[in-house]
Amino acid sequence: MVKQKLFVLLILLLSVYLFIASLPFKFSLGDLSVPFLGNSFNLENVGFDPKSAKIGILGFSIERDLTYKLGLDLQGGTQLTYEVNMSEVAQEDKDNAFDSVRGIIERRINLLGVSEPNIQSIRGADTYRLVVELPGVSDRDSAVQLIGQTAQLTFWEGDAQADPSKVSTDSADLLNQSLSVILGAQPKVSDLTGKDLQRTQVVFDQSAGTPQVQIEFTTEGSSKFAEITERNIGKVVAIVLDDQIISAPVVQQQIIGGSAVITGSTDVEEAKRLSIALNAGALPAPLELVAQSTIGPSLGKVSLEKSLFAGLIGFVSVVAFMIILYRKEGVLACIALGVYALITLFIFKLVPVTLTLAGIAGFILSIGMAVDANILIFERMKEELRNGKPRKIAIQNGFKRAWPSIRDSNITSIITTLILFYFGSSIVRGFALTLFIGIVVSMFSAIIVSRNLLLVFSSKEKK
Amino acid sequence: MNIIKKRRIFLSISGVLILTSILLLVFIGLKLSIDFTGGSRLGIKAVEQSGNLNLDTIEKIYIDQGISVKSIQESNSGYIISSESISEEEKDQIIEKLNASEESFEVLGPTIGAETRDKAFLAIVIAIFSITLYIAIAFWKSGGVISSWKFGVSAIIALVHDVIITLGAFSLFGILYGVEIDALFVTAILTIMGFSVHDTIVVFDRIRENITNNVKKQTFEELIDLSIMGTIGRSLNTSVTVVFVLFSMVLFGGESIRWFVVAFIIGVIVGTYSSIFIAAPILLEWYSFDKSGGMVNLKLKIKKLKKTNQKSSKIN
Repeated sequence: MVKQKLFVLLILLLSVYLFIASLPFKFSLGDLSVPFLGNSFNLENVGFDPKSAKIGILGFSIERDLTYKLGLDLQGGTQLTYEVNMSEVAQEDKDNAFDSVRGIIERRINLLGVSEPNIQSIRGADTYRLVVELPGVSDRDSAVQLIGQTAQLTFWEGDAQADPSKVSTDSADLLNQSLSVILGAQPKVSDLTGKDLQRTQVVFDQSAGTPQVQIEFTTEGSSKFAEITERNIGKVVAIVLDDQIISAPVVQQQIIGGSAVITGSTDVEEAKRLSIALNAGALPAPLELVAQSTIGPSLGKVSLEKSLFAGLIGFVSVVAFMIILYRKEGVLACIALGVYALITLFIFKLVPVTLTLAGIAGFILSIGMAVDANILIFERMKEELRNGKPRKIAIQNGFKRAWPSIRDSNITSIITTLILFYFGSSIVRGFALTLFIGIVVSMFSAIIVSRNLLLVFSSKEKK
Repeated sequence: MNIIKKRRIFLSISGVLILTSILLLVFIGLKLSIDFTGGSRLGIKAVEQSGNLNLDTIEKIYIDQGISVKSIQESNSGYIISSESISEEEKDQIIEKLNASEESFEVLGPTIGAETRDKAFLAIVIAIFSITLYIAIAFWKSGGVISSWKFGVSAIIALVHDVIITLGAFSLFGILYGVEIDALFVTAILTIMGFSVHDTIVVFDRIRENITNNVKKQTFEELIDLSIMGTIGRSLNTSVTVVFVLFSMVLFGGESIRWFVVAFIIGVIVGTYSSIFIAAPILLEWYSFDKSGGMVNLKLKIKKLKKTNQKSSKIN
């Protein structure tokens, strides 16, 4: 009995803690000073910040961000699904290529300045996919443009033998026209392409401090580049991305080492843009946008408010129903249900689970399932009582006899959530995960929390 | 109410429902959303200057652009239009012509759609298989009167019953309200499968318990009746709470999951019904069938029937 009372006390303390942790604002007791200890013991800054938790035990310190992670359908944003076309990549290089595509996309997204972007790699048998989530971004065009430039990077040089009178006058071929202006008549494309680029980055000129773009070539690229620079010392080489000349530096000398810098950027921003653009050509495999979705921020907000309200109404109706149906036991079951909801929500924060509309539905549904375990137990208890068993025995037998049903029925539900999680897209996974957590916690709450509450409170009444 | 005595009535009701559902599914089928077929989905919100937006004006704007529309659904604030894949520019032009504001926009490639379809199918097959397996294992010691795998198969029959009727209902909703089946619907179906078995297990568990503790030497039929009566209170109470929760989600919850939740409501109601009126009666029918000689006896009966038929045909 003492053990049970202690347990109930512990559960209640835990719930108080979890309740404070789920408050949407910072909770602080502030500068409370405990009077009988004088001012020596000051409860300053005692409280709980729902946004983060710091737990320090014996020098170990765990810090956790404790905000709910909201899915794109609740906070608005853009989701882009890319298929990486590996048909041109050798089998053994595919994994590497996939990783580097992901890396490049990550870098490009960071340049967008999105807070908490999320990139997921999804590998099928021979499909390579990247799901890019950009919370708060509703300007899809610029994001798609920046990420998905499967641009062809080419290097152009002038032709010394060209007949200057044969300047292209075809107005449709703007590129050739503008190239002619820089490179002279009949510019020709070299065999150096984006594939020969290893990487690019913005560096600063050590003496002048001006930003410049450093390019590193692959070994093959280095020799090609060396040939081009040898041919064109003192002349202009144009770097063309798709149909745009992005840079036209003058070759100062032959470059053999496979590393070059493009100077002349006026500011860091410009250098960055150039670097990204060059990188675009460096994608080892082309990207194809296979799916995209954008949800406006206001729609997300409305959906969130609605689901929270629905959850609350659902919870209240379950509480009312249980109390009408089972009176005193119903009240206890509802306390257990409250503890259940608090624990589950806390786990959502701790994992953290990205909450989507479907995920919240999964959680609300699991409230219904959590009640089921309690109902099973109470019906069994009633039966035991009808058979004339004393109350305490009835409680214990009720739990014991309901357990196999609770276990077997919940395991089948868990099996389906696992299958859903394994096969599902991200929306489906959100649902499966919340339902899974919900079911597991509900088993705990029905068996441990309800039981001890019942044993402590019901036995007391009888005495 | 003697459920077991009237089991043939309930089995017939379910038979009719299943037949109707299958006919609906075969002749009308389900409306697949762009999740499975690929295409675009544009959510728009009517604003003051939108003028009189309605289904016809929207469709006309799409057709004028040379884009075929799959479906247009009304939402709280506006409309959701599914069509073939459209580009960013096409979408901007449509928004401009509609004079509405854009709420959401999705484009899904056809390969993704086909993949989702295959995955959904595979997931359902694996779910059915693993649930049967689990029940067979869980009911290994079923008291010897009836073998454990028969529990599993009966539970799966009840499950298929629930799934077919839910699918049939959505085929009907497709005609009546233009409801489309999306990836979330498959999720709902899988969850309904879990829930259906969840309910059935509670009844079967009681049957197993009653078989093991059969002190009064009751017949199998009496045991099953006793088990149903012992669990019916729980089954109804649980379903009522779950349906409460689900109704609050339909009434107050977000629009995009409304039909997802409706699928649950149908599944839970049908699932509860089948766990009481279908699963255990099937088990009993199976038991009496085995008692009466099982397949061997049936074959003999059929042979006899054939013989008499042959005789009669000779006379003709």
